[in-house]
Amino acid sequence: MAKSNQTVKGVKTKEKGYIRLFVQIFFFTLVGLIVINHALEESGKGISWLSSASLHAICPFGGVVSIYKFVTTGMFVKKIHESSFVLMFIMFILAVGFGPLFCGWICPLGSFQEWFGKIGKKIFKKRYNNFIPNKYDKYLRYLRYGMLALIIYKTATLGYLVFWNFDPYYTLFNFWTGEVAIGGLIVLGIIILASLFVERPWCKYLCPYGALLGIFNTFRIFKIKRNPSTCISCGACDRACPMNITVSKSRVVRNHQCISCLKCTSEYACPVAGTVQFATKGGE
Amino acid sequence: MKMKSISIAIIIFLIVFSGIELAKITGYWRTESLKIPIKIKTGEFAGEYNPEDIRGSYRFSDIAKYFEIPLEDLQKAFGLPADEDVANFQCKELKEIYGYLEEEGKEIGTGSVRLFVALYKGLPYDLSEDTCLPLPAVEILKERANLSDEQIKYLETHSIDISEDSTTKTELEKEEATVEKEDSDV
Repeated sequence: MAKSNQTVKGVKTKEKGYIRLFVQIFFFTLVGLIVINHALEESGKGISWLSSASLHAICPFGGVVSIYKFVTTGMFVKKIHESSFVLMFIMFILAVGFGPLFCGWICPLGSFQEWFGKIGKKIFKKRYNNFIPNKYDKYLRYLRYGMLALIIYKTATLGYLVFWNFDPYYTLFNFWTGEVAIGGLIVLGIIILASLFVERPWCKYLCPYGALLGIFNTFRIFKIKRNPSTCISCGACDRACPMNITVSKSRVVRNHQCISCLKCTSEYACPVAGTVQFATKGGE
Repeated sequence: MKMKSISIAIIIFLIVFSGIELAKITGYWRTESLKIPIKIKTGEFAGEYNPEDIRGSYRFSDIAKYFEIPLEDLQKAFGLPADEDVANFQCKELKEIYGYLEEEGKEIGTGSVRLFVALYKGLPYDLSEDTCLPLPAVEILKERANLSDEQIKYLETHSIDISEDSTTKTELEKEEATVEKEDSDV
């Protein structure tokens, strides 16, 4: 799992990211199996020991869009159930402690984009994930807040999952069922194509749930912290960040786009031990 | 305090699955509807089951039980055949039966059941949702429910003839239109 490397003093071993990959594969597989089991159960052939919940029932964002209806009427938005609320709170607890772990470690759509992006990385090498000029990119990153506001407002006023027909997450796991809308297929197709040029394009520009969880980065307990006294300004952390955050210019990363993937830390990209870490306020 | 990947992986599994288990223990982990509509909390109809909470997974027997509407009325209202297992018929199945209406921009589905139940029981319902009802359902409502002028007017403009004659006629009209179009193209 670990490879010995490095010429920089103080570094013995480097993780290659297999632990996060394992967690990502686990949740991707789990969600996929639950979706298949849901379809099997409808035909009476479900696996008894595995959950057969619908994809909507295990989506934490379903809880977010249901808050208004639940508070005002005591009901959930159609297709959403108590389980979505439970998962929403669990993800909030994780986000308060560690930021958007859901995005970087759990979300199957995020993982899918990341894995697909490896093809783009092979094709474009250093140009990959650097196609959009920063002067436009920095504004485009706020689009997802518009998306979040729009979806919450429309769902609150209409009382059903307005986003469903364009939801790439739902489409990714249900494209084989014939239940997906053409809008979802188009959005997923665009994301797959864009993933060849940009890492996690959906997460960066349009994901409403990522937008919400990103806010937790401003006050999360564990933060990405850089120690300027040991930093050699090599920029390895900046290059490793899938969300293009300039870690090397910050002491503490509070950027709303950070997905807590730890790729920038001394455990992975940073060549100097103990320089970029995921730590609490008092943590070294 | 510092955190590494392995600790984060453990924390994720621990918090996610213990959170779900805790919700299961407290009875809050539900991934499907209990098929019991919530009750209206305030106003004139407080304590009545709320038709707006009817989901696609509700069976007609659930509706008959909680809203005290005879299964025969539901069967007739939504044009279900005599050999249909009405009690186990799920509201969402209406969309499959009347899927052909989508071409005309109309729909008979779970929303139609909600509207029918609300008007049948004299409960409040937002008529701005533009929901349609089959003609037999409108006839039953006119006969059994105490409808306001506004509701009657709404039903007159939102009823759909689901009789076989109507369906056959519609299909014939479509075929004729296709033949006419082909003739004119030639």
